[in-house]
Amino acid sequence: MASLRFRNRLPRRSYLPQELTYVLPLLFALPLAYVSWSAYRALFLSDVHARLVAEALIFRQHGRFQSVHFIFPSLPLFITTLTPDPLMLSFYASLAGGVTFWMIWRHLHRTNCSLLLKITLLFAFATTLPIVFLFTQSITDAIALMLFTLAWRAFLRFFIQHITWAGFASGLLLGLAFFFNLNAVLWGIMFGFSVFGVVHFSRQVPQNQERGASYAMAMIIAFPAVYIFLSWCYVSWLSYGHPLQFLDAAIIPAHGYLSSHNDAVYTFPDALRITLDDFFRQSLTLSTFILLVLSSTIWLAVPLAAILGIALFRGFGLVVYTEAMAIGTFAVLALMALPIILKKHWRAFLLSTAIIQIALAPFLPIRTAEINEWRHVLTSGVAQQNDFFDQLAASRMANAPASRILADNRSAYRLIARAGTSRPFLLPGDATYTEAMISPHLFVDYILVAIRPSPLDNLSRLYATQPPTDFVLSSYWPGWRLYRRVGVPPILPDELLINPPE
Amino acid sequence: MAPSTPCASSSQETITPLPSALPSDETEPRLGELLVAEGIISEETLQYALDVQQRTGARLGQILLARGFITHKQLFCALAKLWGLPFVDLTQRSPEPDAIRAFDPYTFIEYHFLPLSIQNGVVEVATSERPNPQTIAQIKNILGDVDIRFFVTSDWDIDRAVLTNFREVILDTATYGLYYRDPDESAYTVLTPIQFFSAIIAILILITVFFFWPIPTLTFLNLIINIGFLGSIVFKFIVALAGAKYETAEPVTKEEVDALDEESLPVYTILVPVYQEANIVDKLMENLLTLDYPPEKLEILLLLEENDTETIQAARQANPPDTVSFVIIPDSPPKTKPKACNVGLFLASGEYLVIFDAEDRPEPDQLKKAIVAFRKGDESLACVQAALNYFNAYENFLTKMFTLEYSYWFDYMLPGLDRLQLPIPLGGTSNHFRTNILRQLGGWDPFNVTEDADLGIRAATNGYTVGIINATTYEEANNELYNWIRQRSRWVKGYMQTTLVHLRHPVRLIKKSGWRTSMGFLFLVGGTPLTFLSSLLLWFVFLFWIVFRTKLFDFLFPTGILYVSMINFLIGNGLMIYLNMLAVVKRRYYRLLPYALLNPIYWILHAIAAYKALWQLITRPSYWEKTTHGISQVSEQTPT
Repeated sequence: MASLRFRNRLPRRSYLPQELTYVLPLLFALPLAYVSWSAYRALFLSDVHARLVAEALIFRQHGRFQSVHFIFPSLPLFITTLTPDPLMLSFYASLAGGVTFWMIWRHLHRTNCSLLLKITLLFAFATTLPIVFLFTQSITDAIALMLFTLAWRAFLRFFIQHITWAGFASGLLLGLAFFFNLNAVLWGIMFGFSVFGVVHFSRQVPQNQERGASYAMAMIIAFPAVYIFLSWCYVSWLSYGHPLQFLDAAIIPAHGYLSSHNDAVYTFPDALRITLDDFFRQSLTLSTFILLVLSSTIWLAVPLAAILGIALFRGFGLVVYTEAMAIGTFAVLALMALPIILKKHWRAFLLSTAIIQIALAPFLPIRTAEINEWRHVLTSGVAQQNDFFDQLAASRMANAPASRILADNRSAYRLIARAGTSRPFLLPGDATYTEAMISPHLFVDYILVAIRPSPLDNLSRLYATQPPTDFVLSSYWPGWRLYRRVGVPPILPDELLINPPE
Repeated sequence: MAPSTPCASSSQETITPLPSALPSDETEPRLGELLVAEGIISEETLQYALDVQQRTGARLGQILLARGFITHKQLFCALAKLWGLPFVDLTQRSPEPDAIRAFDPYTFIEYHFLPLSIQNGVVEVATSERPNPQTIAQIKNILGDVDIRFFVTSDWDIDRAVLTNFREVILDTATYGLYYRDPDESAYTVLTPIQFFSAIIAILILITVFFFWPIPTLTFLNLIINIGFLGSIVFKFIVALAGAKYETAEPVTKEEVDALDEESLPVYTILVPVYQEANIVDKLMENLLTLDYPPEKLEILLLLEENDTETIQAARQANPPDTVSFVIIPDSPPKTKPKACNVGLFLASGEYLVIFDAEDRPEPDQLKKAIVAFRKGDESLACVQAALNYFNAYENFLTKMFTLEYSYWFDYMLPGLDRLQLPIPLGGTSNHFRTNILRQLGGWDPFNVTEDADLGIRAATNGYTVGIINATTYEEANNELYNWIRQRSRWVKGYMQTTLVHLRHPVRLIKKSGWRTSMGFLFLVGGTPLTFLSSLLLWFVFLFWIVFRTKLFDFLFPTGILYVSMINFLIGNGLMIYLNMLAVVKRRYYRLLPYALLNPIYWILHAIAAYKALWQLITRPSYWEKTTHGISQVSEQTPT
């Protein structure tokens, strides 16, 4: 039994000085913050951060407290509302990354690996591109993965040391993670189910109480995440009339089938295939799991359950389990469970696989287009043309008078986020929006139309090819057109007259 | 009490000169030898008792008494012979009022003597201790330079005679002692004039504001309620988290208990107030005898109400060992447990003191754990509280919910309060005190129906601390709805009384106790009745809305309040349910876990009890709703 075998080794204490406990997460966060800054300078803006910033600006500047309801995910929105700036979000994500790296470092520090090996292992994890992307460009995933790491660590303490408190903490952390990411429900259920194995194999509970103990502990661990999910369903039912509607109304696309966003959805075989692909792509994760399984076959359950769970999740159309998140999950599951005593040949094996992973990191094929763009921006140091024009247009539009640009934030959220203000825009939800859409000349001076609008963006569809009466095409750049009311001066520079309209 | 028979030597009432009655030399026969010589005990018994004496350091007579080898009568007759003094039976001879009037009755309890008469400069004194210079000094200090003639009598007789002859004084002290000391510490007055007028002014302002701005007023009240709820939830969650973290730390370990030297153990007083519980007296005796503590160092005072003849009769029939003393509490209002306990405190001679209810089944090592905790704690540690739980947990819905609640409260909340150094409202039983500090604090407030919680807070506000020990007392959970409501309404009323008492001088409270203690007290003791009272309103609004989907209450919930309210409703209730779930794991009451989901029903019962409590606070503030015990169909076994 793995749990029993490891138990005697766990009491070994970390020798990290107390002061480092507080400093290390910040130190680990620094490189991530630098990456964030570099991407920001190169005008890169992730979709997640753009959506959050735009929503927060509207929330703050349009007084949309009523319409926000219990929007999902709520805590990232809350954080963004305090500092509605993409760079700040990236810094927060970096901080979450720093804490996660620190947690992994703390665990590695307790092993009998050499300092070089520990550094190499952490470096291999930290330089995996999707993980760096996650910890710089997706605050929701970053904080969720950090909480997942803490929860997994607590769960392992429950598993190995049988501390009820740790099971409780694990459940609560997963409950908290739900406020950042829907994935927490999956984790809660998976951790909950695994309790049956823990209780059975630990033999800490008398056999006649085993079933009761298993159910109780499973419920303790799974309850917070599942309960909060059900609560959100209830709120969704209150707000939208459908319990799962909050997934559609989520700021970050959550569900491919329900969602009006054009996100990829998979059949279960496809979902399984891409999940296996995510799993096998990291040599260090793979080798750590091999090592764990060889020490005890019970560990086989961990990657199997994770692969199956994530594939099922994706198969149900829940697109929140991103590529970066899946890779991060597998890596955390493996590294945080690394045995404390490792034989020499195992250490050599880990070192070699970590080096391979580091060496191959730049060439790792990445499925997510956004991560590829981000990689390109970072390596070239040059902003992409679209980003450049978007930023230019947004910064000019930011100076327009209040509520003079008719737009739909479901399409224009990136521009609103780049503008750093939503004041110049007249948006759905504003009292005069519907009237302004029909008779724009009475309400606004400009109309912003997306070339590839969100399915709910009726404004862009209405004026996709023709400006309304009294309006003329003023500017156009990749993805956008701006109509200007006759007699009103243009607000965008001439250089934005590229890609003439089709 | 055991019936008394005259000693052979007592009939003569010989007056022995004082010097020979003082502690003697080695040539005097010893008690054990005398008892063997008189055929009262055998040589083997003596040897056994001497072995016990070597181990425990207790007096031989106390050992023989506690282990049932002799009776009080036999012991004190033998002591009379040994000391060369006559024996006097105080059931036959009462002290003359002139002889005792000048004394503080507590002197008699402390020094174990009682003047019987005073005539021509000669005072006759009954004593249960060998006359010693301290006793003589005490007598001469009050009565002047008199000749003293000593008689021997039993300690029981002295206690009984003091109770009889100082009935009014003791009753008065037990009832009003705290009030006389400081009226503001007692719940005798529900509202002080300032509190009363403040309440009237607040109500008038509220009515006026409501008259002019009804909707904003109601909305504002709703906001206050919801913020209060949120604060209460956050507070309880933080405290329970701290308590959960405490799970692996044992305040007292088994090794520490095993390392205790029995000789060093002090006399421990156990107070057991019993009222209308004739049906469980025999069980009580059984349970107390299971305590792992040298019986010769136990002083068990069974506090029986004078008019409860049925229980007194049952107690006599139970034929308890001679370490158990029956204390008959004079019949007078208020007929409350704290008043009985104050009488018990008056008689207590132990260095430490604990209260058990009649149906309690304490874990055997509880007293020793308390001793260890006191020795580990500093001098400000006034009390340690053991956990309470139920032996009939699975009996019905009510007992299941009650067990969940108690497990959460005693296993997570109290350890959390302890860890966060917040005031701990004591539970009804199994609170162990340093007797001298308890006396300094003024004992229990007979007018407060949760005198235990009040005492815990009073200790905290007077700079003392209350700790917890990892020992459990198993009780009988209330299994009958009306009985439960009665009990719960008393508890809630007591919390209301305690809040009003300690908020009489809010500034002084904060100055004396600090912000931390004051806020802890407010959230825990003050907040509990308020949340119960307001929860019923909120549940009503919610259910009404869910059934009728009306917009009638929309004005109460503008966006901000709606958010707070939804957080309370969803997250708050979820957290409270979750904490209850957690509680069952520690005690391995796994089958109770699903019942945690039914807590909202249980909370509605709380709310009903809270309204009953509020009504009683107005109409009968100090009325003690007696909880009926001994009605469980489950035998006394721990659920595990």
